[in-house]
Amino acid sequence: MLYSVAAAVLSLALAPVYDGLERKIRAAIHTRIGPPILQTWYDILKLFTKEIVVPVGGAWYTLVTALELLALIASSAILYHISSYGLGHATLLESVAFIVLTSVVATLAIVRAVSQNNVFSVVGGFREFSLMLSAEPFLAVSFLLLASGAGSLASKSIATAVLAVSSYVISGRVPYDIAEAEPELASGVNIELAGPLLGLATISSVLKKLVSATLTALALISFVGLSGLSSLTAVVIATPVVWLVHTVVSTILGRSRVDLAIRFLYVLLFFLSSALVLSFGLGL
Amino acid sequence: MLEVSSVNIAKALRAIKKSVWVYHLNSGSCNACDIEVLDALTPYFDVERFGIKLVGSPRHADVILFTGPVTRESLPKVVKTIKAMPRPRLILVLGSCGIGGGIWWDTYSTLGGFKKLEEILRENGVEVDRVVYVPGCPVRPEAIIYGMLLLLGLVEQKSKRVEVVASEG
Ligand code: SF4
Repeated sequence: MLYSVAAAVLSLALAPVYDGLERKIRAAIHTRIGPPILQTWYDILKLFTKEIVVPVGGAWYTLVTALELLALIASSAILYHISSYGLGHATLLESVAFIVLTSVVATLAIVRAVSQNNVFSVVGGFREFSLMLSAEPFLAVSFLLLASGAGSLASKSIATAVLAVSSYVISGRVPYDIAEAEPELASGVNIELAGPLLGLATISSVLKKLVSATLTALALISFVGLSGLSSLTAVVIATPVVWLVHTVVSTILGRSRVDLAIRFLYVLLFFLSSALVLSFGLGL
Repeated sequence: MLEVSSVNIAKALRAIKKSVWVYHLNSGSCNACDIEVLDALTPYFDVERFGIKLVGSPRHADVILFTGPVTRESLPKVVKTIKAMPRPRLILVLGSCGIGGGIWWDTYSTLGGFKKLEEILRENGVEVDRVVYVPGCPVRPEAIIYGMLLLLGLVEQKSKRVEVVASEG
């Protein structure tokens, strides 16, 4: 338990550094120098020194932003707790709690977006909703299957592939970043946030990437059959490696069309899920 | 209504030196300066190495990249956009038009540059914490980057201001 808490705290502190590393690697792929590795920390610290402009909605709005961050911290803490004995041995309560928390994070982001008096934010909220609908059910089913420890090696491998793809989508990377889009789409769910409130939302987006990378790392490490401290250490080490893979994928997909990306996602997840059902049905 | 808190400007200005989020605001330029702004933000110039990032909302911005002579049509939107920025508000005024109206300095349909806009902002209670002017028609990308570093206090100004009074006769 103590080690799980230590691993969670260490990863939460390192997540912005991993994000800085992501920006540095993306710059290297573009053959440019890129920002310092601590850039995401600099961004967050800067936002906390700026003026607080509370958008229309006031205290209620601030509460939703803070709750979203808390739900993300709790879901990463659960993942590190499960890591200390392997994904296949997670209890039903822990698995369900994790799934509920990830849905809560997406729902709070939507609530925050639509409660603003800004049409771009509401549009961003609907984009977040459509992403949630396309990835969350697949994430939940594959996670619960892997956590139950049931199934053969083939079915576990397919479930891991479904989990890896859907966790990439929830990380909010290109081309699945349409909820908060980039400047060319005039921004999205965070458009009205400024200063420290935007700082909280920035930490949340970094933690989404952490949860996504940890989830895939956890599923992959469960194949090795480690347990206890060695499993936890392996997950902590594998997380930045998965993060690196996500970075390379997002840089390669940088110019893909958003509508095609969503259609491709449906086809891929439908194909993988059919293979999963078949492998379970045939007992492969 | 928005509630706004007080802010430690000196502390925020120190933090902005390492992380500069810019918002591009066109107040009615001919678009040549805007193309140069986009040029300065391309991977070729790699401004991300200074922590500079383009954002899509004035609420996220630390610096406004300001172009154009401020047309009468754009004036209310320009004031609203600058007001939407959380303090400290830094503005990098780009091109001859932004500085003094350029070739439209005395036309009926423009304000004639940022100096006149500054007065209107003051009348509306919108405080601007720092302004740097970058001349050029259009302004060069290298000059934009240099102006940005000057605005952040990372380089010294090379040229000196000399006031000249024209003598009659
Ligand atoms: S300064 Fe020159 S290039 Fe820039 S907007 Fe004005 S006329 Fe166009």
